[in-house]
Amino acid sequence: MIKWINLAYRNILRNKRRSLVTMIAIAVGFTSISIFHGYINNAYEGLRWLAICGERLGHLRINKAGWKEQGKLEPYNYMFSKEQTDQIIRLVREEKDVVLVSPQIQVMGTVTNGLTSIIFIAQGVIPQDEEFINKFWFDVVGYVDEGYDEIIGETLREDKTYGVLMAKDMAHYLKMKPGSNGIVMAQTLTGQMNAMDIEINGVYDTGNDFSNDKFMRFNFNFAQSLLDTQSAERILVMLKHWKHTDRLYDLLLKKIRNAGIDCEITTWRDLSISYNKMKSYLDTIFVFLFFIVLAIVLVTTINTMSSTIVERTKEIGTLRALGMKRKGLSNLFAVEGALLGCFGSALGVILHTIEWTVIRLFPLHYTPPGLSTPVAMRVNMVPWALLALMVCFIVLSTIAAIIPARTAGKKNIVEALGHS
Amino acid sequence: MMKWMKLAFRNILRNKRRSLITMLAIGVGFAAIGLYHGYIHNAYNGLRVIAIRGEGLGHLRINKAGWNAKGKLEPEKYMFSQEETQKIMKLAVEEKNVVLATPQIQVVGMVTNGAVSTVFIAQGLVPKDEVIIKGDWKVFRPRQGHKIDDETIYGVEMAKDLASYLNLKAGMDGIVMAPTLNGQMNALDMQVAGVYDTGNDFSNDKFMRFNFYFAQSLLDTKSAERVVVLLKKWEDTEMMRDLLLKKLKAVGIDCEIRTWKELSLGYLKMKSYLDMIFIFIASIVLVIVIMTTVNTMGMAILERTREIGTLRALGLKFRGVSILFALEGAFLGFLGSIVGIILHTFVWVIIRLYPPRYIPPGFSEPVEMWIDMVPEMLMILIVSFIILSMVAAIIPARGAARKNIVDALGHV
Repeated sequence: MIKWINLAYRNILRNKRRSLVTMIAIAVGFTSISIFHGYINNAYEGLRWLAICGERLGHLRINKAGWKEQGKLEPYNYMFSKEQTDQIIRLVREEKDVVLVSPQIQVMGTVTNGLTSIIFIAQGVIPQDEEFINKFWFDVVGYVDEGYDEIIGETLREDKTYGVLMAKDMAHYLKMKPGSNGIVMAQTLTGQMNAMDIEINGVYDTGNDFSNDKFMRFNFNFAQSLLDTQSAERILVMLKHWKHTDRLYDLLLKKIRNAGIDCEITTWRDLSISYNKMKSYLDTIFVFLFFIVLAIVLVTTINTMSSTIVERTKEIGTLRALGMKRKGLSNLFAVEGALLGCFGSALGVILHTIEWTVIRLFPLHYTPPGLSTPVAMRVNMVPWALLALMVCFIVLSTIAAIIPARTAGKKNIVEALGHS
Repeated sequence: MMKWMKLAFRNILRNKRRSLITMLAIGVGFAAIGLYHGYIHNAYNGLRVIAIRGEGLGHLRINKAGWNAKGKLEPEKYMFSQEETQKIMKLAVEEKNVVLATPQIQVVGMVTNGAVSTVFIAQGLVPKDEVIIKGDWKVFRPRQGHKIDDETIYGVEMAKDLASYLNLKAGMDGIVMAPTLNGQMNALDMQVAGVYDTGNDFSNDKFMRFNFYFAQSLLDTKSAERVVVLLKKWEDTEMMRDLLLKKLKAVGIDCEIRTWKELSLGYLKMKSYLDMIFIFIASIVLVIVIMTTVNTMGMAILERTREIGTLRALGLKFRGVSILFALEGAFLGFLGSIVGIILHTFVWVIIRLYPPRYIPPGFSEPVEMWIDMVPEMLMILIVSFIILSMVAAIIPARGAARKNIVDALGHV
């Protein structure tokens, strides 16, 4: 085998320029696919964190059974009572993959600064759990995209229940700053109108144009008293790793049902509107790019190999005359093609690393659709993807070499010897 | 010149398979760029129609000066009075590019079905103008029931998720509540005339459409918040903005005008994003195609070193040799582009006949994928591919022509 590789390697060196140009073509193809893959890989990761931590969906969301269908219509019927909430939290916490369990509640109503009033959608959350989510995000990812960690003012505080966070466009419309006072009005669960005083603790960016003019965050207890209830609408579960999502989904569903609480669980994937769509869209573009580049690279390699083979017709005749089988001949060219693919991809990996470093050092800023602030474009280094791509390119260039080699091997030996 | 072309053409035919494969590579590259461009071209058109007609932004939106900054805070100060509205509409409609000018007003409040209530954002629209803005597009029609009209002034259209939360269907009654312009709470009975799809998940659970007069009485005012102008052609948007701004200032109405591009949240971002991907794909494909062509021409030239020597010995100049190969490259590029156009048309026809369905980011329902045939772009692509392959041919040809004639003649 070593002998074959040695021969094929020498054959590649015979026409250095041609081999180099072919390798560059393969490398450019390789790099374009791998960089694009690294980009979408990073985009998925970012979108996932945005969904789980940014939109505060958590990995799993536990609701009372039927909440999705009827919850908005008869909210009082589809809430967890205080005992149920405590029981669920206890059950979920037992699992070792769970890092956080937190009850939440949503309130909709109008907020006024005394002059104008606009609608709001607020999540009632537990302050220290909020902080935990932010910290968790930062600790795992190492960075939080610009804009998401920025709160002007301070965060929610346990000891100041009437302090709220307000999304930035909303604060802008209402001319409210940290420290200003206002009034929120909402219907209690039984249908009475209720109003309470608030003070703005901080102003934040939801990261999304559609929600930046409506969203607020309340202290969980404050939201409960605005709704005049002791219940929780949902329980948010954060896991150590998103890959556990589906397994824990089954496990928790069974466990909580066994405890006699009828519930439904939704994963972050089902909840996040943008993640799935963006993913399928980028996947399509990736497949398109992948096939185009492969087709062109394949054609290029066939071209190189076939002209190599035509040049060496005489040699092929000699080899055959000396007793080499057709299979041996195909092998020789196949190894040559494979080596071309291998060197080309190695060059591609180098190019990829250079580009990756450049993008790391000087990240481009752009605003993806649906986000409100520009984010840095990052490209992930995904070793297994590079490996898969390498294998793919080697197989491809081997095929590209075998196709013309087979025709050459079929030639009459005498004719091949006399070829000029 | 004819003679040169003929020679170049014959040279291409000398190694048919190699030329064919190169042409194929060029063709695939050509078709890839052409198709992707056709796709984004179609997507931009679609997004534009959705912004202007679907979202009902019109081409231009005229607000009172300062509305953008402070309108939400003190709405009563930043509205057009009835006379101002009439005057603006009259002035705008005078222009021949203008199809219509219509007053609108936005209401934000709570809607209830008697049991639960939720927030809404409603646009007060003039029904007969709304029909013109929406045009013939079937997707913009209500899914259920009918549009707002002038007969039942309390009839409203409701976005589909909002309707399903409130369990309201066409024909059912509800109550809308909102603060009037001077801050009093006001409530009015309404009837759901139709349920529609905004096309967007973020707005499908909040949006409603009111009759303009209904919205005015809910806000207890005679004013209009804005005047929306629909133009004949979207290309005139910028020009008309300047023109109307000047015209309105001249009659003493202080206003600010925004275009659909500025108002549509999705359009510009989606466009810059798709443009970026287009540039990425186009440059990758071009680089690989150039490589392929350089390789092919390099081989052809190497094979013909002796010929080049002969030609030079017979008195052909440097330039002559370069021109010969440049023409050959140009031919390759041209024929490759033809292959590309055939491939492009083929795929285009298939997609036309069997359009795949997909959900673009931010949409609530799958749409059919369409690809536009853009002749200008194909022309540009042909020209750029010809130039590229000419360049790819000249690079190795120059090296070959420089060779010593005697050496070249003796080349094996």
